[in-house]
Amino acid sequence: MTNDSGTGPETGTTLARGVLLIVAAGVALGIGFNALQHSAGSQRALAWVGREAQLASLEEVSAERPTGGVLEPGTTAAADGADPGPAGGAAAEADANPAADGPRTSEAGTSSRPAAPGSGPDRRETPATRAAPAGEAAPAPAPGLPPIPDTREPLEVQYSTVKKFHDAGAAVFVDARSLDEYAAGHIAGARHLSADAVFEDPALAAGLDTQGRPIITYCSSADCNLSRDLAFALIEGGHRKVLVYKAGIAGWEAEGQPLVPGAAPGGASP
Amino acid sequence: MSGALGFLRAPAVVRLAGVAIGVVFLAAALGKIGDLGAFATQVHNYRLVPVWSENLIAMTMPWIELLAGLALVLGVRPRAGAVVLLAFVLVFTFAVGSAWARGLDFECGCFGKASAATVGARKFAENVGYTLLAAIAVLRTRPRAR
Repeated sequence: MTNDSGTGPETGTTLARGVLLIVAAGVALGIGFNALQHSAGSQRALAWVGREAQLASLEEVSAERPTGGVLEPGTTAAADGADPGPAGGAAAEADANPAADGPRTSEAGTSSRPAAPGSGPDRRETPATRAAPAGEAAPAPAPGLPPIPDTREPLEVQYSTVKKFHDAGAAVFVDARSLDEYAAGHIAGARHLSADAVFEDPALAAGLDTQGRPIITYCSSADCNLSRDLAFALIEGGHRKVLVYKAGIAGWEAEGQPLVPGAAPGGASP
Repeated sequence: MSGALGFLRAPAVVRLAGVAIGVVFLAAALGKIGDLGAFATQVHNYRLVPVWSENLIAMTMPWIELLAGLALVLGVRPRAGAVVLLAFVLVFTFAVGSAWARGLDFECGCFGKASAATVGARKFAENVGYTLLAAIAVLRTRPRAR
């Protein structure tokens, strides 16, 4: 200690050693503390590797509710009886953690990027497939299209469903990437609304005119989060039927679908 | 200039600044350790680190803060503690500044859930103040006898 405040020749080394000691001990304590909580089965334990919270999937939700367009308030996707097969994942968590759903807490309410804590199963937000208080006046879905419940969280949607909506022009496609990427090639008819722009000006989300149609967001591939971030922002902006095409442009191309270049939506679908 | 620096390097001033920033970080660390999950969410909100690393940061950082704060308050290896806290406070100031610049609006997570302060100009100014305190605490004290 006298070395720390003095001007002795080893001060630098002593200081570095002290810093290292504090950091190493802190890391060890933190990891040890979390390991203890894990072994005690505590709800407060954090997952070792963070990850984005899973979104529920439209296909699973509509498989469970083949007729329902809007889920009843207080009804989560998992609460609708037996859960067939792999649909369990996210939905079962909704059941296990109902308290995380419902009106936004102050924590999430002040956030322009709600949800997605990515901090393990115990911290995930639930797939909030609840009825929204004021849904958009949705026209009856075209035959063959799955009904989309009003949700407070986006739903993931697979290519086959995306294709149906695209062919029917029954959804507003929104490209969440940068304008340059959009101009280089986008899904025909998709509008451009970058996630970054929406975070800077949330009014853009509220101002998106869907004419009652659901919104499908996408970005470059399953590895990007822009589509998901934008979807949350759109829901914050008052939209209630928001889907995320997780596979994005990469998935669309992999299915052999063309991309439309240029800064205008282009294509048949508005 | 040398007069001001000389004053700041006085052992009592350095010690006082160290204890002050140490206490601030002790409070911050305890607030975070009390609810690591909430802190992990706040780390996520900043969107500055890869998602996979967020939990590791959330579970270790508060403990490092705690030890560094203790070092300063107790006077055990105080300069090492001050260096650690200075590094933290610089990172935090950058994080709050970048979030503010990006127009993000969320709880800063600075004191865990104990404070509902959101990022913004005020939080940024507060962080600049902490940075100064930590910088003073890092100063090598003026030798008593010349």
